[in-house]
Amino acid sequence: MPLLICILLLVAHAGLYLAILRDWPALASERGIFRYHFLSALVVAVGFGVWALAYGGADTWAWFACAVMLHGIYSLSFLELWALADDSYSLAILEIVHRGDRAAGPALMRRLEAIGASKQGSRLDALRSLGLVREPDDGSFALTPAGHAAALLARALLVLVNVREYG
Amino acid sequence: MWLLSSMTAFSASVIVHAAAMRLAGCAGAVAVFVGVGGVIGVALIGYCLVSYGWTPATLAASLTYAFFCELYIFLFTLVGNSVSIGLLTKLASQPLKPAAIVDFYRKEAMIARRFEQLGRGNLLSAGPAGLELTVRGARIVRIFSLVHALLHRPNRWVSRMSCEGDDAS
Repeated sequence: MPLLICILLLVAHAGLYLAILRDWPALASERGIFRYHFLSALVVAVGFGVWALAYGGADTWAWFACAVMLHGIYSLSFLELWALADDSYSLAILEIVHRGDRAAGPALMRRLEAIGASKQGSRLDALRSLGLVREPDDGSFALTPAGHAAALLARALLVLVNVREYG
Repeated sequence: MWLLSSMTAFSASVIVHAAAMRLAGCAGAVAVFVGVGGVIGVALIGYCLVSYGWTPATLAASLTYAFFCELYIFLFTLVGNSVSIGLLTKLASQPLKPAAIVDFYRKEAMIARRFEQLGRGNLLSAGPAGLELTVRGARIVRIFSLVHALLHRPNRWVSRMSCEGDDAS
């Protein structure tokens, strides 16, 4: 029963977005859609947490974990799909080649390079707004302590997965 | 106790995946992890069914394991393909001027790497008339055209190119 309630909540959450909220400007950015999912995860975690605290017992806490993990799987899948649809460079290349009309040699390359440059610029701005990159007075870009920590974690992950080319 | 089983299985998946990636040559990291994680996941479910039976604990262990596996796949694909992470790792060694970032992070290399990945994934091939989608690539485009319609989100880079193309013409 608790799992069924959680599944119904997730269906309602996805349905509400697809039926009404997908055109809302507040949910049109990565930050907006992340907040939509984070808020829902918080409601599920607090709701099931209060229920588990009230009733106690190992099974109740196992149901709590089921609900939170199920929401995590749903949100992660949704956000990945959303981000891929919105911003994937590889998918953009596939879609442009699929259109065919502009898939000819140097012109295509120039356009794809322009996309790459725009993406790089927009990502640098995003890193600055997240507080990972700062601009010292000399006009250069440098990492903040949080940026160094993120870069260290990323490098550790790359070594673990044995990826040598990235970006 | 189920949490310990779940975390042990996830750690084992990460370690076996790391070893497999060093032995597997050019195999895709996601495919290797799905294979490794799938086998260990089935073993975890079997162990939980024997230990706890058909109880919420078994379901919780399985869902926790599945969530962490998905999170791990998300993180290493993000780190391996993200322009943002590429910039972060470049800036980690030294501060860079905007021009140096452009030199360091060449657009041509970025595109070449994407083409290589798409070719390796059997999504794109070079035919006599130029670049062509494979059957698999065309299927991916069809699936994502449905996703675009469902989410009301066209790919922003394709949209921008269309606008620029219209402006130019």
